[in-house]
Amino acid sequence: MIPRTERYVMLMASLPSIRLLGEKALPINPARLTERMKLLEPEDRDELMTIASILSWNRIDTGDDDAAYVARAERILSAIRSATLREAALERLEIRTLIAALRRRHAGEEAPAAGTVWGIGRHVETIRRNWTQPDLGMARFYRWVGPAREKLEAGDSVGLERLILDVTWQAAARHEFGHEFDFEAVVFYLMRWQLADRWARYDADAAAIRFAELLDAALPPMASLEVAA
Amino acid sequence: MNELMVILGWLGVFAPVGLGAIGSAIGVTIAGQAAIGAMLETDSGYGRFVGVAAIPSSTVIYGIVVMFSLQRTITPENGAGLFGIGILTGIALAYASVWQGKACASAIAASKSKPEIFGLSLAPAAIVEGFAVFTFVFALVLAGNIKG
Repeated sequence: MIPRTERYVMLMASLPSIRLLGEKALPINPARLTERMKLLEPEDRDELMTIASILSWNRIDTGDDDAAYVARAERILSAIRSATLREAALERLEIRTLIAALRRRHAGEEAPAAGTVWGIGRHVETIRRNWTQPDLGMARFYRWVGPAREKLEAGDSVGLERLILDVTWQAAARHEFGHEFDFEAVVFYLMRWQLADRWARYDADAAAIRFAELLDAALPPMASLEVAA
Repeated sequence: MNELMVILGWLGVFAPVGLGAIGSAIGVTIAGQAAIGAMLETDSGYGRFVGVAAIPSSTVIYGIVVMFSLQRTITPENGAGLFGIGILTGIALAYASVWQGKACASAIAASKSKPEIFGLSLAPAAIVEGFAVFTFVFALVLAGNIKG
């Protein structure tokens, strides 16, 4: 007779805490995390896979066009049993829609034609109508739109990535409030793990590129070395 | 009617133990699962986790003491009093146990990665224990006023 809200006490207590800008290595590796997820009930595991199929980049079918993806995402969103998870997934997709709009406009694209399916959420039409506005008419909903646009225009891809991860992390933390040991808590933990993993990888890639640039700047060209020899 | 009052009286006498045991069982199970989970992630401090997991068991002990204080010859005159004090004490103890179990589980989950907050993280569970003690003490006080 354990309450549903305490269904995954053992699982959650067995997971280390994660910080977005924490240690260089994640506190739990994918293999161990997958092993721990075997403690999920079959129906919750199925629901987790379903949610991942629209949120996790490596599970999204890249063969889908925008309309097919949006239709599938909307179908899956409406089938998510937990209202908290449904709202959190929707907000995450809305953030992606907004970022996609900023990138498309920055790339010189025109506003999507009326009636075109190009994004998900409650703000799609507002964004389309405000395409020429600097903040796409979204500043009153999302304060980070301005800073995101500035970073995009300045070519600060690392800063933009950091900002997106921060915003997504905070949105997950907001929805997670009050869920400590239930299925929702497990899903939010995995969301945060993915964000930390993405940052850790991005950080490593960015560091490698920066290191190569510094090497290029510091060392004389290979040709001059050969001449000197 | 007299028989009903006697039945209610008996229910009241045993409720603190029965409901207290149910609450303690749930509370200890919740905190115990957290302790097991924490053991998977840590290399030491197992005894500490198990000790915290046992904290919600105190309420069943309070229930036993209250039961003995309520125990007397049950009559139609004292049945209602025994029922009122016993049932409400049992519900309060059970509720305190379950929520204390949750507080203990949170303390275990938090202190496994940050051992320095172990003592402080138990404060909510200790406060809940205080509420159970209030119920216990005043049930004993009132039990003394019931004739029988």
